[in-house]
Amino acid sequence: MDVTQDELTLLRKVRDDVAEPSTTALNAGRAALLEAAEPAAAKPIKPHRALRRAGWTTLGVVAAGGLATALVLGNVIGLAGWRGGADPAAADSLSRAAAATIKTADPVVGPGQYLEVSTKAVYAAISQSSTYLAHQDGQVYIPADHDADWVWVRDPEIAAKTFGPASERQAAEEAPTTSAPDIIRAAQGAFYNGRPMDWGLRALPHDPQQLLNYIYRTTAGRGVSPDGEALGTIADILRTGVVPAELRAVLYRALAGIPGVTISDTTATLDGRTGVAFGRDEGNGLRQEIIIDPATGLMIGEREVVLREGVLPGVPAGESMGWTSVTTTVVDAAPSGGTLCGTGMHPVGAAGSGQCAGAGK
Amino acid sequence: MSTDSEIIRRSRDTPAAFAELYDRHAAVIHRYASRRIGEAADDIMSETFLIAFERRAAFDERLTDARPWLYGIATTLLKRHRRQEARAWRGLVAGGAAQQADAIQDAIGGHDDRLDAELGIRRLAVAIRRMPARDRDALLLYAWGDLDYEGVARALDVPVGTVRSRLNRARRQLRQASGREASAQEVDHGRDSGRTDTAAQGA
Repeated sequence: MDVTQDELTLLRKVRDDVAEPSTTALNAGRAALLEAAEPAAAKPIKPHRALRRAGWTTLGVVAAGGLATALVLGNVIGLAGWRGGADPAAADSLSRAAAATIKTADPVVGPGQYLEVSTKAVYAAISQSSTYLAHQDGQVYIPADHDADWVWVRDPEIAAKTFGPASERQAAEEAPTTSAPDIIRAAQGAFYNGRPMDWGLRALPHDPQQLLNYIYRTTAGRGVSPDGEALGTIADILRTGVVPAELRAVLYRALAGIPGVTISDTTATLDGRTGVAFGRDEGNGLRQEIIIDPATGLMIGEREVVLREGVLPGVPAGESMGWTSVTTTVVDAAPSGGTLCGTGMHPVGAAGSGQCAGAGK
Repeated sequence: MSTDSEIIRRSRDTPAAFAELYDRHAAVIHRYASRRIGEAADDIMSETFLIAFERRAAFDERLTDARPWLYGIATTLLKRHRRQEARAWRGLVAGGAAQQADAIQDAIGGHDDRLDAELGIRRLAVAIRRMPARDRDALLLYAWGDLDYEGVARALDVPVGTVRSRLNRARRQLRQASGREASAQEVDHGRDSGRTDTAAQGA
């Protein structure tokens, strides 16, 4: 066809081996559909909400092979607990962070107020021969009344750091030119008809080993390694900024149960705040880290560190290929304006359906 | 056999008839979602059809094939899984490429080809992860949803011209990432530098 045929041919083969939907999943989907098609009078609940399970905590079909899968399918024993855990110094430090974080009171959001979860994110934009770091800030305003509008503000992306002339050229070419922040509103935090950030948190086990097993089970087959994926999942949960103190402590203790986790930096600084970095070398030249303030036990953020030259074009060893810092504060007001779906999109269907479509351009 | 639009028309009076559309297309929607985000594909499959059912009155009955419409709904639902998708692509960059290359080795050939495939997949994954969401949606609907330009346009509810430019942009990025653009210009060095990179990345 043309010169791009090879890339497309290759792309068509990527993940061509995914598993078919399980009979259970197919039947469940069909049953939900039929229930919606012939609603029983006594069921006012919206069917697709009824069907939803607990977000990223969904226990789904396991597609890939390996030890984790065998254990999941056997469902007899989990991966946590019997393969050792984090390096003793890291486990000890995490245990102290857990004790400290329990004592750090969660912010209290009064009537009419909002919890502002502010995120600063940096990530690597990678081309064939160069890399630059792009920076994007965002804030989510969570109303005291969770049924009211949540507001999500995303600032424009800017080039944050370059590595030499090629990187500078790349940043100049690729950096977006938008200047206004994108504001999205959604009742109950259902941005893009999705689940709110705190969805499923309450359902998580409050025993560290059970929680860790739960994470292994629900992420089986994903990521570079089960342990790396578990660490990444814990970072994802903490990064929401809405994890209550008690669960935060359990997550730290779960992190202490992951083999290969070490203290990788005792003075890791993100966005002006310094804490202890707990990381895991994934053997692919990258180390994912969770950074915790030892005094308060609050998570400062997470980052991914490049361990050797050549992993990303032009990026020296020791550099972060991406990081996120999270802070939460209570505020009296949220920004006004914005759209249900974000700039360039419009809502489709009834109000609250949350469906969005492109603007036609 | 009924066409999709006939089933949808029938479901206006007999809602349960919509299940026939589910039986026909649930697996392909699942497959598309699963390739993009993994296990949450079960939810995407189910919700796609629930939303399609609720909105069946809006289906354009002149179209016989409902797949672009269903893919479009699924693509919208996938937006909420951006983090999972980013993680999946990252996994492919980091380690999954080798596994994928093993899986497709037989289809391509020998050992050198396997290395090429691994490097190629890694570069594709980097480019796709970096791409704007609208370009990625168009590309993956085209490559994995097996839709033509018209179908992608219907799925995304944009004009065909828009799809064409999004796909051109996406393919250009893939081409750049694969180094093929360079090899076209520097016939002598393009391929060689690709192999050097293989060694460096595999080290």
